[in-house]
Amino acid sequence: MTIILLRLSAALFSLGVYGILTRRNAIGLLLAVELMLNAAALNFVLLSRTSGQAHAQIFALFIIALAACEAVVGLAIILSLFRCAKTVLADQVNLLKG
Amino acid sequence: MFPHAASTSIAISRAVASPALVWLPLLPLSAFTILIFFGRRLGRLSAWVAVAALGGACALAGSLGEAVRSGRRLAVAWPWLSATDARWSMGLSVDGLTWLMLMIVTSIGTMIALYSIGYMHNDPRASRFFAYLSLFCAAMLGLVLADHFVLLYACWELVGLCSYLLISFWFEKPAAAAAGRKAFLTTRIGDTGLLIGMWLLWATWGSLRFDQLANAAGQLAPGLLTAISLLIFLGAVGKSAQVPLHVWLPDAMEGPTPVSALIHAATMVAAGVYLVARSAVLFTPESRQIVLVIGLVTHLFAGMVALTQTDIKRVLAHSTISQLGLMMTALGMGAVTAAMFHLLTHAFFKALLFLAAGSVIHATHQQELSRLGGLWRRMPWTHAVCLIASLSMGGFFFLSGFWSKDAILLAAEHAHPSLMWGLLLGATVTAGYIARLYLRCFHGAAPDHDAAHHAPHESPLIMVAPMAVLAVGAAFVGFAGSPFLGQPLWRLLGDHEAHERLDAGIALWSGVALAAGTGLAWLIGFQRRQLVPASLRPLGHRLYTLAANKFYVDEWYARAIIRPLLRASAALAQADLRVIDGAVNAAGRLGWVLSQWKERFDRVVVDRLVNGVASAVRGAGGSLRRIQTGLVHQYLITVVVAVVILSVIFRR
Repeated sequence: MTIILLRLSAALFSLGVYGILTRRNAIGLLLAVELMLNAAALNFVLLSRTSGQAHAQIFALFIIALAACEAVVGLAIILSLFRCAKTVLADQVNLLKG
Repeated sequence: MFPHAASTSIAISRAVASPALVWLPLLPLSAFTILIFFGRRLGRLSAWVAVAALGGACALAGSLGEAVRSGRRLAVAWPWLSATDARWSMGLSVDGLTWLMLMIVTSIGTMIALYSIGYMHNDPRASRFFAYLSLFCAAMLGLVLADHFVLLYACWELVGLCSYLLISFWFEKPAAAAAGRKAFLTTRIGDTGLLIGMWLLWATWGSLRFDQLANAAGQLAPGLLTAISLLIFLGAVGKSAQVPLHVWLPDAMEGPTPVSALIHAATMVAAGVYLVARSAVLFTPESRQIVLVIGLVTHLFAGMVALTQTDIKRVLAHSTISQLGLMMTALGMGAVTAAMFHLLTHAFFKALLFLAAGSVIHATHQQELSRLGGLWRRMPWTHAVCLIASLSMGGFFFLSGFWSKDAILLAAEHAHPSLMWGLLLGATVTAGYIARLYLRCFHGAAPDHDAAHHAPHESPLIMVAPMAVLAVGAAFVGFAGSPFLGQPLWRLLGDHEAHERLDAGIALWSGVALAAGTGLAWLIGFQRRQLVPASLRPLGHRLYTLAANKFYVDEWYARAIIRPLLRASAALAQADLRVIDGAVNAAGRLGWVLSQWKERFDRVVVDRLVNGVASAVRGAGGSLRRIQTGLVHQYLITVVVAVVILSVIFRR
């Protein structure tokens, strides 16, 4: 059971990584990051249960809060990016090129 | 406990406190302040400011007379540097001697200021002239009022400054500028002596107040007293133009004539006599001897030079030196009152003589005796006052000069009979030069005047009136010291040795001296008779040349002192140029070379180091900027790949 759930978590993370590497849309990138965060949260909860240490689940709560903040900030950035550059495609925004 | 309070109370108990004294110097000083700032705007009015201030001071001084004659001493004192020492408390005080000087300075000063209105009316800087004149009077009043050597010295230097400013008043003339410089520097030698004398008195006795000099004289060692008194006398020698520091006074005649009358005849040059009279208690018999010798030498020497001068003002200048020598002689004999008496009468008749000379110069624009003559018809008033002044100076019976000369001769007879004969010789010379001056100026043939040049005329009333007032003084002021009126002057000065009656013998001899001098002047100086036997004529001629060139004192000073000094300064300037400048330049060059080395080091080592760091950073940045593509995916791929690699490396 534990192994299955760990694999699920790894799959979720890999999906997130895949999404990050392939998506051009910034909102898609944000969603992929969300997947990776949730994979980590699932790992925390799972390992808390198997090791019997309940306080590890606190980190799951932290991650949820962090994800919410990240979504807010990320969406705000994307919104102002769209206003500024008329696009949400990440590879078309390269102002920070060295 | 309270040293200063104690000393003040003592001073008050001795003297009557009278704060009004402060106004005596303050009135002319405020006139000076007004004139120096607003003189240009006041224009012609500025002269009257000076006259009013001097007249006010004169009235104030006159109002003090009652108290002074009753034997009291007026004083006002204020603490000065009292935080350190009560002995520095200073102030003004008036006793008989001071009051006499006050009256001389203020009355003659007022008359001369009035006269100057006429004399200077064409001068563009007249207001400046009156400002200086007021400052001089303020300083002179401060000098005679001072109850302390330090205050006296300060005013002493101030009158010296005014003298300098007024001698070189027409500074456009190089001769006037040089004369001012010469007067200032020559008197400075004497002033230095006075300063050292004051310091010596301070160092050994501890007080410089005049009312404590008598105590000092009683307690200091005689040798020390001689040194102190001679140093003080050196100051008087400089100021009163005694031999050997007399050379400045004839040159001082470059100044305007009223200045010559007030400063270089009547008052400032008499300050030396006043100083010696004031500190007479300090003079030991030895130092009095030296005063006597110098006075007598000056009297005869300057008299002989005066016989030969051809410039009116220079005759009068040498006459002043000679008369000051006579006063010094009297002081050397210990006859302080007689000396001050002669100072009084001399101030009047010599001021008057100068004013008359000024009137002549004003009318004819001539100072050379050879170009003057026969003026008595043209300028009757000037002629009259000049006659009175000349007779007074020659010692004509009843006129002021007679009484004062008589007093000095009497003192000389008491001191040493041979001294009296020396002074009678001096009196003959005096009568000779003044008669020569008078005769050649006012009598004889008038020289041809250019047709373009209008004939000389009498001076305006503003010049004649002060002369008339002074003529009254020159005639009658001597009665203040004559036996006929009971010699109030003697009582004023606190001298109890007054002679009750006229000494017939001395009066006779002085009359003979006057007659002889005048007669010889008439024959030789005016009629140009050859009285000297032919065999002696070359000798006489040589003597004349010697005297006419003032015994070559100036030339001798130039050769012995001034030129060596100038040469030494030139040598020092060369040394400065070579050694000091060389050292400075060498130091500069050394610094330059060192900094060149440093500059090279800077360029080669420091700059390269700094540039190397900078280019290294730039190179690194240049190579690193390539990976900064701005594409998020590339960064993410890098991160993921790095994580994968790192997790492979750090796997357990």
